[in-house]
Amino acid sequence: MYPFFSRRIFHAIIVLLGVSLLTFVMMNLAPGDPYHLDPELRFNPEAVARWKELRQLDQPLHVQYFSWLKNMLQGDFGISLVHNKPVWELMMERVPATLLLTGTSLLVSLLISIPLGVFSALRKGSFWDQVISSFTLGGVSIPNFWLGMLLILFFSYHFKWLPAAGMRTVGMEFSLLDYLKHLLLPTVVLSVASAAYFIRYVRAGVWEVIQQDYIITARAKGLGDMTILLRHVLRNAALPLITVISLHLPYLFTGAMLTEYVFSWPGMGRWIVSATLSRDYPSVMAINIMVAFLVTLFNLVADLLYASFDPRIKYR
Amino acid sequence: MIRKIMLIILVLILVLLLAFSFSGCNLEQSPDGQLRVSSLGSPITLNPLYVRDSFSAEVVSFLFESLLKSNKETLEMEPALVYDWEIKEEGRTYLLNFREGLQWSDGEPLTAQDAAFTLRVMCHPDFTGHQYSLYFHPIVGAVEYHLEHDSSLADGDIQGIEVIDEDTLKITLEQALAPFLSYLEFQPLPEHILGEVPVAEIEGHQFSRWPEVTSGPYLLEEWEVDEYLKMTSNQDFYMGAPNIEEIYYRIIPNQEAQLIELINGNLELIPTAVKLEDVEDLEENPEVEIYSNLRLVYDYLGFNMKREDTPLQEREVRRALSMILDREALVEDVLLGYGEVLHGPLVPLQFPYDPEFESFSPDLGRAEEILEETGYEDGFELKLIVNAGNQVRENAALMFKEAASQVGVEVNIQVLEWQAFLEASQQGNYDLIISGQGTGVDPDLTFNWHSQSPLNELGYANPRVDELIEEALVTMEEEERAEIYRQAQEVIVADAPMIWLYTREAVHAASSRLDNFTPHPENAFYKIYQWEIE
Amino acid sequence: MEKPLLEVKDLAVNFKREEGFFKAVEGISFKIWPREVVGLVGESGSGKTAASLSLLNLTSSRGKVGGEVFFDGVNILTLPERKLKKFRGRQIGVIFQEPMTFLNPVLTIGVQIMEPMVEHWKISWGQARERALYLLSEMGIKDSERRMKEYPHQLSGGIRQRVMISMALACSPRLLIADEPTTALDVTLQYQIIELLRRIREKTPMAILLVSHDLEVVRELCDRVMIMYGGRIVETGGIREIFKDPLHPYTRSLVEVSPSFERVAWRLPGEDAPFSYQSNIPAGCRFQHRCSRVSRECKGAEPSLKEIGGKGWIGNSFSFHRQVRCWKYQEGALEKDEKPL
Ligand SMILES: Nc1ncnc2c1ncn2[C@@H]1O[C@H](COP(=O)(O)OP(=O)(O)O)[C@@H](O)[C@H]1O
Ligand code: SF4
Ligand SMILES: [Mg+2]
Repeated sequence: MYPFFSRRIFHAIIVLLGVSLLTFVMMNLAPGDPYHLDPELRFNPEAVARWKELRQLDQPLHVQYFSWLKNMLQGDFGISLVHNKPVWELMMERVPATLLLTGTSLLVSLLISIPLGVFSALRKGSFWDQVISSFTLGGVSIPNFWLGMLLILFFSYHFKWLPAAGMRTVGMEFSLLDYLKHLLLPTVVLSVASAAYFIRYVRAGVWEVIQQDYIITARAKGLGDMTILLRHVLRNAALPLITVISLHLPYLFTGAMLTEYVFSWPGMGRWIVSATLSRDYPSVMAINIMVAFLVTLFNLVADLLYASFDPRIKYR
Repeated sequence: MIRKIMLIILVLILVLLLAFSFSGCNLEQSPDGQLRVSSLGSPITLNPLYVRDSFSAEVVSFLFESLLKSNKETLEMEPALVYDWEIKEEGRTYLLNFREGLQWSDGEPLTAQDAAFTLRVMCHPDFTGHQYSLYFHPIVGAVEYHLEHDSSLADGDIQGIEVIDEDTLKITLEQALAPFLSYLEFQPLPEHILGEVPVAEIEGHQFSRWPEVTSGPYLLEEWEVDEYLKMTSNQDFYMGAPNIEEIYYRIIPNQEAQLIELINGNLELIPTAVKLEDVEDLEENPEVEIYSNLRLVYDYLGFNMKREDTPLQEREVRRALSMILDREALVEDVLLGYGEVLHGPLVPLQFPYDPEFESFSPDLGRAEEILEETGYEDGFELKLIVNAGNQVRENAALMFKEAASQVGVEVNIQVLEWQAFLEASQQGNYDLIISGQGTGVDPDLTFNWHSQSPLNELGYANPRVDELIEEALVTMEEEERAEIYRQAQEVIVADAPMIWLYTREAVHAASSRLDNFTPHPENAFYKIYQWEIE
Repeated sequence: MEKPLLEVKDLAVNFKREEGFFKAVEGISFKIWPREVVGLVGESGSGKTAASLSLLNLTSSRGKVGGEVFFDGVNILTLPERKLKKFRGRQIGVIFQEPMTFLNPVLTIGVQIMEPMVEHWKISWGQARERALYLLSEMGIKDSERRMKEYPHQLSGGIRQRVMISMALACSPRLLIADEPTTALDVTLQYQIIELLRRIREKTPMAILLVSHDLEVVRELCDRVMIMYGGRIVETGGIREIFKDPLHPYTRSLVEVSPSFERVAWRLPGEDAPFSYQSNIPAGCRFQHRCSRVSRECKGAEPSLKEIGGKGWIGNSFSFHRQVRCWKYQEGALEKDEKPL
């Protein structure tokens, strides 16, 4: 177990270093500078120089990179060049909304896809299986942006049932219902593609498992259908699903960025876009490191979960 | 069993949908005295000295009051914190009288001291904004302070800035500077809060993120990042407490969603840039009022005159290219009439503006003739850059390309992401550029047209124009000054350094419950303390 | 006179395949009396597994089961699934050929042994545990506490098969169907498992249907044996009679190539699985292509399963117990047979 962990952590460190270096190089190669935000500063090159000096942007690139690295290792992600605020704070202000949205969507898409996928596999070839299969085809290929706008048009503009923007009604007392109303459409948009994607794997996985000999054993024991499904089928079908989910998370995250824009959701999305466009190096660096870190973490968690579901796997 | 579960799930979904649709019927109307305005983005800083984007500028205008303000129609300077002023010594000294009893929101008096302090900050060597070099270096002693002041604080004195008493500030300039009064539209910072903060640290100071002590009609109460800012009326505002008690500045990057929120009664005002395509629909809605007003910005198609060995070096070629575009059609088709064709660097509302003045009208035949006369009958190629995401400018680029092809000039359009666009435009890596220009309240042409100005990106240089601009700067009499600018405009336009395309109108959509909404060309929240919500 | 525990009438299993229906089992009838151990022998692919699974309607969804199966007088195939479950695992236990694939890889063997008891007896897991431990030690597994927590992949083949048996015996069923319980094991283990089954047989009043391709294994345990070929029963009889005097040419070949207790995958001359789909089943006797005594009539119509000799005691019943499906033993055919072909 320990060698496994240390090997994985070693890999993670290499990956994170690579990501940070690549981001740094790319940011510096890309045209533009954060101080371009104020074109009138050109009137005053010394102010630009002073501005850069105050932020240590006048140092040679390798010095900048290593001092960034050093600070990062001490948990300091630096100060945003645009917001003049610690990047860590900027991130923490936005992470909860994104987590709320992606978390709910992941949950919802699993809640949808597991029953439907199981149903589909058990009734393979039936009318409903075909209905579900065509949904998965459609769901995977609908663009988030388009679906979001469509839902807004229907539910906000036409029926006036649901709000078109934001996370809650401003100026209102806290109300769970209000949050849920705001959460509903973005969650649907973000869940559709994931659910469609998961259904395929659940269906294939369950189908595969119910062909297995041990399912005959379970039936021969006279177990109830639910017991067979939950104890024997799903536990085995969960294995490939864990991998699928962990591989899918980055897509979910990317999808969330677009969905956040469409529904004016106050998450990471806007910051990521604006930080990239305004060449806010420290922010972009922190975001990329964070995303890379989370992806590595999810993979590790997936591996551990895998091991806890499948006793045959031991990590060494 | 499976069937049972499916049934339960179906029933659950139905129940949820029903619950939502019932509760959804009563979309909240805002309580009285509450205004919700939308914005496409979040402010970055709330410190008026470091504002570089429109969202920060908007929120700052709620929170901070300036010394003077320009009138929304005449653009003349009007009293704000300063209620009265005298210009003496042929425009060299300004005597500013502050209102009595002005207060910061913490109850401390707001005085001429604060204004002097703010001016010192802007002239400080560590200051990283643009105000010193654009506006304040002509103050006596400012250059010296900027170069030689050796404390990290904005302490000490600038010779030309004298606090006569609590309510009187005297500013002395090296020489008369006609636009200087308009430079006094800055918002002072509280010296009692920031006086001990090194200037280099003010931009990143807590105050810039959350100004606790302010002077404007509204006070910041809540800021949910990327969601909304809540501001409440300042009971001690010098014009009396604003009528509207609460303002929610809602951040909604999706323009369509802004409109729907307005129509659904979740917003009272979309202050900027309602999509033109939507205006027609909105005008039919009795709950929605559409406002539009000219702004002090124009879009242009500039000729790069810094590059050597291009046909654009030749004035005749530029003139010919200035004749090919049908700008009336552009305004009608692309701006749907929400704008005016512009003929020169002076824009409507500015006092020297002459509505009679006209420049080139479309004449392809003449353009072709000129090109032949100058020896370019075989045509040439030009690279045109335009920033991505601005539909109107991209359309203008296409129209120009089309027109140019008819006179044998091939235009290659490059649509660039914003930062790449800025870089290309600074490096002069283009022949033609479509971009926008803000003129400011004062008609001063220095920044864009003086041959020595760093903002003169196209490289326009005409000694006669330099002369006229310099003369106008020291001419205090308005009619006289206007005449000089009109002369300069004649010369500039004749040199055809750019094709002035249009000034665009700002279009605002508001709930019909909103009264006294009077947008200023540069500030939608002009006199917000007078607004009312029914 | 005691009633049969299991009475199978005209059992048929049809598998749906791309090419059409395939009759894996056709027209099988037999009875098993309480405490009786009956063998079902046939080469691989002859339909033994299909037949034994179909008794509890356990064939996959592609397999259609026909005929009647009376357990204790109840026709269990007509019962709804819900009621049929009460028989599975409780009245009839099943042991499968391949303990590795028939055990769930992600559940501890403890859980897998306990769950039928929890399901049928509605007892707690704690109570089930007691009996599971007892069963494991009965199966000769030492250290059963620890074994309970292990997963199938951690066990050796012999132990796995013992776990399988414990599982099948968990609810003390009245009939045990053992589908090739020794085939996947090596010779020594085979012997141990047979010994184990013999012990169980002596200790419990349970009847056993022992399915195997190996006559030797069947000889060790059974009173009576049924020989299967191509989905049909071709011969039945007491185990000693069968060995002494095999009638059907197929049975004869089985007895001849089975000299000792040797686990070589023995083969008949000719192809392995007799038919892979319907169109391959010939008119007439199904064994004709491999039969050394084939004659013209064998190709005409299929012989029926004919009672031979007198009645005798089978279990507790007086009945015909010698049957054979071959033209050579049909009424009036015996003499003709003597003529050379
Ligand atoms: N699920 C199935 N689908 C289609 N054919 C099957 C299936 N199971 C078994 N068969 C066929 O039925 C015949 C009998 O198989 P089986 O009962 O497993 O034989 P045995 O157990 O005697 O080796 C074989 O030809 C096999 O190919
Ligand atoms: S019927 Fe004919 S072919 Fe069939 S087993 Fe008997 S002798 Fe052989
Ligand atoms: Mg078999």
